[in-house]
Amino acid sequence: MTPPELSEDLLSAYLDDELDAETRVALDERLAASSEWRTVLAEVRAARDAVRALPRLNLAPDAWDRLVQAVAADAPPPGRAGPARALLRLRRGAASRPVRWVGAAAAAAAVVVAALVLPTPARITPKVATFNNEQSARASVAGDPVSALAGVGLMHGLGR
Amino acid sequence: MNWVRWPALGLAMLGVGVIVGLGPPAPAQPSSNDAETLLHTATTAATHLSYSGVLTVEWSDRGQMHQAETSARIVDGVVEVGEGAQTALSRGGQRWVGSAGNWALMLGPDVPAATPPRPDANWNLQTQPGPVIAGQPTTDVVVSDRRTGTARARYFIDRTTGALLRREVLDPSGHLVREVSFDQLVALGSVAPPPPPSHARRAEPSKLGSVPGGYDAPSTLGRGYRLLGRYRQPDGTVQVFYGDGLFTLSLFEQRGTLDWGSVPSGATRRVDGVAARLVATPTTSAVVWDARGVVITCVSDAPPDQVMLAVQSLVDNASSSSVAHDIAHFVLGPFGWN
Repeated sequence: MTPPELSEDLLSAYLDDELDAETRVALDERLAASSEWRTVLAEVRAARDAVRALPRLNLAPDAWDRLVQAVAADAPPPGRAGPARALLRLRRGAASRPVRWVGAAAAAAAVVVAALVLPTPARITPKVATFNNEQSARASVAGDPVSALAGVGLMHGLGR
Repeated sequence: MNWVRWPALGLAMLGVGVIVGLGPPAPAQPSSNDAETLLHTATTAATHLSYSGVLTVEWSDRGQMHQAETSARIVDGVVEVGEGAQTALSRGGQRWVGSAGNWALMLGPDVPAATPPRPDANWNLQTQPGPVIAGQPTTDVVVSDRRTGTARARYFIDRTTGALLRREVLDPSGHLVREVSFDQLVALGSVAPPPPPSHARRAEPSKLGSVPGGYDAPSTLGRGYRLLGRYRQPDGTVQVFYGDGLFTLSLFEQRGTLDWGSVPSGATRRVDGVAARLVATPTTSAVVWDARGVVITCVSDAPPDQVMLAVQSLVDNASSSSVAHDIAHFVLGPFGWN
């Protein structure tokens, strides 16, 4: 078999156990022999883990717009790079840091996917009457129970 | 009545002479610095007195006064308020709401709150002679704003028993916002207290050591509210409970976006650009709004302006870390880009 060429896609497939047995054996041999391959493998693994560690956000429909606005408006404090500057740094360093670029793209994609694919947040009907009763019950422990609980039976018209 | 707890009571009886009303008498008219003691007595009177009465509840909703009646029965520490489908029952540390065959346990005995601040921690307290209420002479404990000196609440306490007979909450101009007052009062003799419900749906919250990410639970709120407890309701709602020594306040937080059409009618308020609705209930004010994917309902027995101050402080606290900024930080942070 032709020795495999250094490829992040290949290493990603290796981590995901998607390679056939022959390719996997060949890759194991390259990894054992090359520190450069092992370094790249560690970077791919770190990027993959970072993306997978992102929480599944239950985003509002306008979350992406708000994110973009916040990044655009975020002026970095003196001596500290903000997101806009970080993006410039990203461009400059893209050639030398391919794995980070891939990770960033994946992370950004994860946010986009979260915004577009995840179900719309639950529509909440606040149970004002129930909450009133719960608050009154709690208040009646430390205070006068009669005046605290007097409103419990009078919540008609305030929903659940 | 606990005679060991109230050794001065016998002497007071001699001074007062004739005792009419609910039972054994309490100390003679206190001086102004007794206000805190009187308030404490009022909160514990139900534990050793037996009486029943009709309560009038009045409240203001967008400039209109409303009135309703309910009843209360207090027997040896067991308190039953209301009648019909929505009765509240208090027994020890437990609270039930409902009616025969349909009770819900709202509060269990094993999820206490922290001790609140002292009543005078945030308010000026004074006493003065009060009116006769339900046939009982009262002492008026006036609660005033420390900054303005304006009265913001009044507690009318039975001089002979220490029971709270009327509670008024006032707006910044001293006008009535809401009131709970006994109209009629009957001393009960030797009667059995209402029994606990034989069956009740479990609706009590569980205690939380901390609130999950995304929920707000600052240690202080508004003018002097201190965090006293964090709970999770059976439906997942997070409740954060506060007290300032006189008033209490709960934040009920639910993930999602607010269905404004389902919010009871009320007054619209804007807090730092955030739309909120202030809903008047007979004994509380509720403020509902949503921000950062969480719907918050703040319920409090405090004057509405004080509740709005608490909401304001919460919104200010939350806006210092917007969700978009958090997401950007989270996404870019691991790659060294922020």
